[in-house]
Amino acid sequence: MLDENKVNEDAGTTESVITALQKVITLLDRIKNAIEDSSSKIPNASVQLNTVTEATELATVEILDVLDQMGTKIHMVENGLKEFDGKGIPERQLLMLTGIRQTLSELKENTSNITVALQVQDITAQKIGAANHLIESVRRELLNELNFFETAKLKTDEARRHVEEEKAGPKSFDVNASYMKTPEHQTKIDEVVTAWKENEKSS
Amino acid sequence: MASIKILIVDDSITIRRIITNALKTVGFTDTIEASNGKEALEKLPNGKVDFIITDWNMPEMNGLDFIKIVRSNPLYSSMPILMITTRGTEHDVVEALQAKVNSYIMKPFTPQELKEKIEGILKTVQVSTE
Repeated sequence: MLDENKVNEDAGTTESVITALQKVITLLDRIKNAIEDSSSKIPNASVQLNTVTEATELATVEILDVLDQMGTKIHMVENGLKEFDGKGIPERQLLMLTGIRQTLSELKENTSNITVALQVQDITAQKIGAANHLIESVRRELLNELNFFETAKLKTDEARRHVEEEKAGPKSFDVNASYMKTPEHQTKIDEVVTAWKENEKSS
Repeated sequence: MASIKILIVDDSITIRRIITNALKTVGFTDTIEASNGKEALEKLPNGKVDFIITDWNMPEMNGLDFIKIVRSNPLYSSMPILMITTRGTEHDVVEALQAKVNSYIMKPFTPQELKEKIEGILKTVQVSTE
């Protein structure tokens, strides 16, 4: 009677273990599918980000072209106005000329400010490059995890090859690139440079 | 002063254009470009370059390695070099100075900053060669 109870108990335990294992296998399968799914989407995200960089670069160069043309035209008008330098010109027209020169000078400053602001494209590109690098790292980690699933091995190798092929965009970037540079920041840099040079002279 | 030839080394087309435009507005019109250190090294011997402006983070060969190679060549040991980069920590600046850059600007920069730095470098280079 006691033996029969023991056998029944063991059978129950074995059944529980099998059920638990089945649940674990199902869970692992779901994890594997999730990893495969996620890692296959990452190259698309990466490519999309590179497209953003390329598009903003193209647009920025077009804006710079326009600014270049504006600068040339402003320069031409300024040179043309030099012919009307004061001699025999009524006071009212002289005032107008001064006004035009002032406006041209402001326009030049505006174009210069736009040019400075366009540096944000490079800074953004570096940020995107850093984000892309991070995405690729995550993808590599996911692919490593996939290696644990024997059935996914072939797909993993295929996916890894795909990653190598897809690796595009800036490979060199400053993860801390920032557009928010204050005059104090450059002053600090200049102080470091000056101190270094003085130290070099004295040594 | 404005007749010097400047080599601009940056992987960003945008920044190369911006530097070229900025240089033009302050009187430096003679420029050539390279998109990384390796390309710059190829252009240097035949380019009759008087001054180098370089970025730090670039593919193929970064600005720091480029400067070290340039400085190791006796022909270019006194070549004026200005670094323009997004990197702005004290450690970065010191590292660039150790590689023997003459001056350092953090992006974003203004044409005026660029002019001041170039003129400042040229002045010290003239003084040291006199």
